[in-house]
Amino acid sequence: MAANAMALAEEVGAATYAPLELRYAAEQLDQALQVQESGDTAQARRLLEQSLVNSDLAVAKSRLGRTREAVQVQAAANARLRSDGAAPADTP
Amino acid sequence: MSRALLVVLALLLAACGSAPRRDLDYDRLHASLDALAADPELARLALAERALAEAAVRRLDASSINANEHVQLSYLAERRVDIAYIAAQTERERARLEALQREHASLLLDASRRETAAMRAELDRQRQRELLRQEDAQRGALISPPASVTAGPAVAVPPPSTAPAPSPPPAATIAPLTSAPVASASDADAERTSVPAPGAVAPTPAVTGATVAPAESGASTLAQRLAALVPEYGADGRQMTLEDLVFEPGTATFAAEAPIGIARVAAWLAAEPTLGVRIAGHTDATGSPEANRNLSLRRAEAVRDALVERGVAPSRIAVTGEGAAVPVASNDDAAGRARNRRVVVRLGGGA
Repeated sequence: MAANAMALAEEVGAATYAPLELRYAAEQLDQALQVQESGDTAQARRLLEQSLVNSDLAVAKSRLGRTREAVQVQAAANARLRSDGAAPADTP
Repeated sequence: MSRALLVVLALLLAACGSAPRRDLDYDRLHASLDALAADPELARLALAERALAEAAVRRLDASSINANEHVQLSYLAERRVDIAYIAAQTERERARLEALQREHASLLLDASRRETAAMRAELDRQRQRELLRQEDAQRGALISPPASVTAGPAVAVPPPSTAPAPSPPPAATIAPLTSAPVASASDADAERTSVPAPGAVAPTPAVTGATVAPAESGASTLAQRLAALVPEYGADGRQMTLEDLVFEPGTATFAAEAPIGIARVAAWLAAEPTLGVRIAGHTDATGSPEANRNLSLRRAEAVRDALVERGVAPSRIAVTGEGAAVPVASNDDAAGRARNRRVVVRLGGGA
C-alpha cells in the first residue's frame, strides 16, 4: 500500500512539486523493509505508515502545484485574449 | 494531626486527578483544524481529507499512554492536517481554473464573433466594389455612342499642336482632343451634327457621346474611356466631364487611372490659357445632402489640385460642390446614379 502510494506520487509529478516528501517516503519504505527483515514488525509498521502519509502529502502538494500552474497559464491566455479584444479594429 | 495530613493528601490526589491533560501537539493540531473549519473559503472544501485529519488528531488525543505511539500518531496527524489544508487549497484553485476556462471560452466566442463581423464587413465592401464595377459596365453600355456621332470630321479646337498628349495609358487608345464636338467656324455642319443646341431634347452630357468615346465596345475600360475623353458643349459652355470611377468609392482619392483623364483635361485647358475654369463636383442622391456636398466639393478640389500640378494657373480656377442638386439622370437606378456622380470642368467660368 505504501509502495502504491509512492508510485502514485511519482506519477503526479512529486519529483518536481514535492521532492522532499517523496524522498522521505522512499527512505521510510526502504527502512521499513529492512526493519521487517530484522523482525521488528512494530517499527516496520510505523515506518510504512510514515511512508504512506508522506506519499499522500506529496500527491496533495503535486496536485496543488499543477493546478496553480494551470491557473497561471489560463489567466495569461485570458489576458491576451482580452487585450486582443480591446485593440482597435482595423479601419476599412 | 494524622487526620489532617490524610485530608491534605486526599485533596492533593483529587487535584491531580481533575487537572486537564496538556498535550501541546494535540492542542496545536486541533486548533489548526478548527481554523480550517472556520475559514470562509476553505471550510466547505476537501471534506474527506479533513475528516481523515480529524480522525488522526482524535487518535492522538487517545494515545497519551504510550510515548512512542504518541510520537508516531503526532507525526501522522500533523501531515494529515497539512494534507487537509493543501487539498482544500487545491479545490479552491480548481474552481478558479474552471472559472478561467469558462471565461476563456467566452472570450474565444467574442473573438470569433468579432472575426465574423470583420469578414462580413469585408465581404460587404467587396460586394459594394463589385456593384460599382457592374454599374460602371452598365453605364459604359448605355453611353456607348454610335460611331457616326463620335467620328465627326474636322472639328479642331484646340489645334493638335497646342494640346500636349498625356502619357499613354496601357492598352488604351487615345482619342485626339480635336475630335471634340467644339466646332470651328469653318465647319458649322459638323458642329450641328455633333453638338446639340442648348435646350435641345437630348443633350445630357453623358448621353451625347462627347464625354466618352469608346466607339468599339460599350465595355471599355476606365483607362480607355479617359484616354478618349474630349470636350463637349454643356448648358454653360464647353466642358469636360470626369466620371465617378476616377475616384475611389466614397472618397476624393483618385483611382490609379485618373491621371489619364486629368492629363486630357489639362491639355484642353492649356489650349485656352486666357479663359477661366469652373470645376463642379456632383454626386448621386444617395446619402445625406451635407455629406454629398462635402464629397462633391472635395472631389472638385482634388481635380483642381491635380490640374494645378499640371501647370494650370490656380487663379483661373473656381471650384464648387453641388452635391446631388444637379442630376443629369434619374437616381432611381444604378446607371443613372453612376452618371450623376461626376466632376465637370467648364471653360469660361473661373475665380
